[in-house]
Amino acid sequence: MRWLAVLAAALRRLRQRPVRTFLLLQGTIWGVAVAVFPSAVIQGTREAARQEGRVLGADRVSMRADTTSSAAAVLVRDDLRTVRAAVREEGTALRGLGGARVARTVPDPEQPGTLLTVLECVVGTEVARGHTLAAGRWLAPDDGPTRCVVEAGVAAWLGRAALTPGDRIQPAGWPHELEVVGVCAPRPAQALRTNDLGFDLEHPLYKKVGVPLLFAMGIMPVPDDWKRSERCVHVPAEGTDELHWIFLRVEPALVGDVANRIRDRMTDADKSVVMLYPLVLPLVMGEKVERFDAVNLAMFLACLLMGAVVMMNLGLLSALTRAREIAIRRTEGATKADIALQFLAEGLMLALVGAGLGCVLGMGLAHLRASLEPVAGFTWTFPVREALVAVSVAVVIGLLASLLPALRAASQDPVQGLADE
Amino acid sequence: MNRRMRSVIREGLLHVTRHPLRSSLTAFTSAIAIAVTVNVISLSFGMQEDIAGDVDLFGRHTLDVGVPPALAPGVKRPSLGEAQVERTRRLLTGLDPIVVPRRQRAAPIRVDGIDEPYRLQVVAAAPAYLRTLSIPVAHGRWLRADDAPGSPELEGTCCLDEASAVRLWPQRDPAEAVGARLEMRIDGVARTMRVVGVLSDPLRYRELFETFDEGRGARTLTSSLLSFRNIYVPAATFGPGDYTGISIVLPTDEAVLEAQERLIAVWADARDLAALSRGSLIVFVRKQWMEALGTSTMQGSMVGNLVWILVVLVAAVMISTLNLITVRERYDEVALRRCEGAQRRDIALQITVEGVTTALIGGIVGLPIGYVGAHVLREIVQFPFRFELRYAAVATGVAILLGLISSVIPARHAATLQPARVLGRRLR
Amino acid sequence: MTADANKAHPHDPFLVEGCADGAEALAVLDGVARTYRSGAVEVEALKPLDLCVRRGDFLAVMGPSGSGKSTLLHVLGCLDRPTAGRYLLDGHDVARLSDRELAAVRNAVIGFVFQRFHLLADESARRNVELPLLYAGVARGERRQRASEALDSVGLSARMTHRPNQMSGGEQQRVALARALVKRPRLLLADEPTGNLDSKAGERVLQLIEDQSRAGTTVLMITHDPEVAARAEQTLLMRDGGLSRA
Repeated sequence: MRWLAVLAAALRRLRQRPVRTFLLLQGTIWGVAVAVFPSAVIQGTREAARQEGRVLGADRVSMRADTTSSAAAVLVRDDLRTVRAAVREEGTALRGLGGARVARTVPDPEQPGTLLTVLECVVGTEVARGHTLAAGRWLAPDDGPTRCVVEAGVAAWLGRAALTPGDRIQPAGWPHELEVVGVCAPRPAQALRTNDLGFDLEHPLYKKVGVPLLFAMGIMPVPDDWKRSERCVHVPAEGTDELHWIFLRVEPALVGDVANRIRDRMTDADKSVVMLYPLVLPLVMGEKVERFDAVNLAMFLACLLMGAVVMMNLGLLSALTRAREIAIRRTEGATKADIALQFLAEGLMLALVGAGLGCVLGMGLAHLRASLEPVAGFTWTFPVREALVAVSVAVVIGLLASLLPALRAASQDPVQGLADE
Repeated sequence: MNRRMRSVIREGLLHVTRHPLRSSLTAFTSAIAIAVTVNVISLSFGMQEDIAGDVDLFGRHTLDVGVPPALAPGVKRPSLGEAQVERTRRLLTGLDPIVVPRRQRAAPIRVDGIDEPYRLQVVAAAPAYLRTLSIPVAHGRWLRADDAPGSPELEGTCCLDEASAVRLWPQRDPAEAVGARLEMRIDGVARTMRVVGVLSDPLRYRELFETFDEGRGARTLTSSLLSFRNIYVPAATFGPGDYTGISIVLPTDEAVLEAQERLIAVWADARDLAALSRGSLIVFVRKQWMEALGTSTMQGSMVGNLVWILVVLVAAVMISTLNLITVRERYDEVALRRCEGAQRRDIALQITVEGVTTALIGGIVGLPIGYVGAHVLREIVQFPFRFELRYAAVATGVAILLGLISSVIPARHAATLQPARVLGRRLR
Repeated sequence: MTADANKAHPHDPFLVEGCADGAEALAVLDGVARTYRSGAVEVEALKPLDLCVRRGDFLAVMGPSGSGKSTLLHVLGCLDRPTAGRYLLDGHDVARLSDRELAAVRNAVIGFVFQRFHLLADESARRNVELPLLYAGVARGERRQRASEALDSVGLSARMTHRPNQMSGGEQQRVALARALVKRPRLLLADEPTGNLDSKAGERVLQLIEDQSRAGTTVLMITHDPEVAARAEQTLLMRDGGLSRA
């Protein structure tokens, strides 16, 4: 009961001197903030990747032929077998596999810039591209060239209110009519903004910072708007062996490894390929990023140590300047232990308040950092474990820093304190 | 500087030495801030300098003609064959160019005793290709015109990048790779090659590179060039077919720019995004590429630098608070000095001298801490922390600045003290 | 000396023999002395003296500054230990008590009022009064209750939440008095309680102290003002560390 009163009194003291407290707390606040915000971003992004993997494309790998290599570079249907084998090698589950050839792109004379794309697909491509079914069914192996599956935006493009299975359409320039057997559900807005590399194309910083960086790294933007247009018509691939793209989906954390394995197998088969998958998300999901924990730890300790030194110095001085107050308390029955504990409580309060504010600031920094990154799915969450650890360490250091002042305060002679100053 | 000022400065220095505990505490804070500063400087500036230096290695006077890495589906790959090589030569007459076409592809490489092959980029070009690189041969020799190309019947000759040698024979010194044999499978046929030379590894931050860019494939235009993890074979090793690129070495910077202009009149500039998907060959100057990469890296590391600036600012606030507190404790001393004739500016100067001195001492102590820290961090993080003497100079400058900034308020506080108020109280 | 100051008192305060045996003795100083070291110099603040304070006494101690009055008060209040002699408080030899026990004694038995009030500047009047109860481990509700009552008894209910810097000198001293009274002390020690007050405020404080004495509290008051000393039952003189009759 008494200790509550002591802690409450310590908190009151802090509130009475806001400027001094604020200055003292800088070390603790920034130390804890720096310790906490990277974990916040990493954990948040990992969660997002896990839960929204399909939407973000975090689980998708896209493959195309490498046009720069001297190896003959055309993807064919047989390559799907190589891909499947490569994925299954390590027992990885394949959530979807397919391939497509861009057969035709039809511009709309009335809406310049929008295109309808007809894709000749292998069975299973719709799922591999991340689509879900709204009505009807997917293409089956025995579907002839007159059947098709349409994406959600095709109806509007063709000037119709909606398409249902059974309807017939004929895209301009296509030799014959097509019967719709399935309609894809509209994909979430985020999916339509995210490209194969995992970047949010509409993020303000993507154009300013993202593109030049990718360019400088030699990663060329590929003309593939059709992937995000919702205006693709999937027809079965008959009579053509060539594929422009191969798509597959696996668990997000394994995307990088799977892509490397596939690339190796394709190289063994004398084909140079380009693997496209989210650049940043797998990095965050993997363990490599945790190496930088050491740097964070160093910064955290640096700030906290600086704060501790100041707290100790101030505490020592306090013990002297508050001699009168200490004397009064001793006169009224406080023991040396009471005085020492009071100073320790003040140190504890300082550390707790500082650590708490540091967590808040850390979340602010995390939010800032997450919004600066033009990568889809880059977000933050509250890292409970790291925050607890950081707060505990801050409290321990704060208590240690208050130890000497507490001892000095306890040893003040009350008679001296009551004398004229 | 007159004698009075000198005496005042001496008073400040004396005070620092007479209160070792108090001064050490302040110096300690400064030491931490400087250690952090040193680490951050060595990281970001070190990397900047590395990249700038790598331009030379990558080819200061080299430009390339190549196939765009991304084509719209359906657009045909532009041909890059003898005709284009000849055209290049014609376009660049008068500039004294060295024109080296190369073929390049990934291939599985097997070495004795290892079941699983490695996939490395194989570059087939004339011996002049080395001129495009400016990397010295570390062991053995470079390819010669009379070297045998690898074929099913005949053992061929090859050279390795040091990183390739390390990857193929991880337990051995790269020098021992000379004379070793490896098996390369191209177009379904295995060929045996004998290593005659190893190039030195120019990448100073290879671990970082390999962490963040698995770089084994041609996702990027430059990763295969920049990775320096290739195998070089005689041009005839690959059959006839399209070239991957033409590398051109010119004698001067001006010649490079002139060549670039002549070539983009015919083909596309690699910096022109719109031209890329049209299916034309592209032209890029390696130096420009590296500069763009350097700028982007610097922008990226700005965020990291922010944390550093934060720590230094926090240190400034902390030291400021410390100095302010200790000044308050010295009211009696300050009052006495004023009574004995010190002026406000003398007091301010003394406090400032004390602040700068402790910050400087702390900074100097912080340098070795920062150095050790950089080494430790390099081991843990595999990040290219470097330490150079001039970083120490910058860090020391920061320490002095820190001392000055953090003395401003305490000096003012001490200088504006009114002696009568203090001396009215009974001195303890 | 006025006639009041020489009011006859049944016992002789300097007669220590037999004093300690009686149940009426509250504080007995037997040959108590206190010597300080100040640098290289030894200062004898209290020469060996005897004093017997009985329950219900109201004593005043007068003397010039530097005579050792405050030291006497500190020794009586268990703030300072004598360097010679014995101090028996309520039958207990103070020398045998540990630091912690002394603190408990101060907390429960002795009330202090100082010339310079010595209130905690950052706390309200009520919290100042609650201070000893805090160290006694009293629960919050009861603390508040008793503090309110104490402030009420000195007429300062209206100032409960005010800080010292929001009160006049007289009010501050009354808060200090309330703090002393909230513990229901057996011994009230006052060091120049009216020294920093104007006559009206001082009069008020003195009346409160007199009320306490009438209620049975033992009071020892240090003052330099003979008129104040006259309010006590007996006045003692202090000079150069020694006590004598007025």
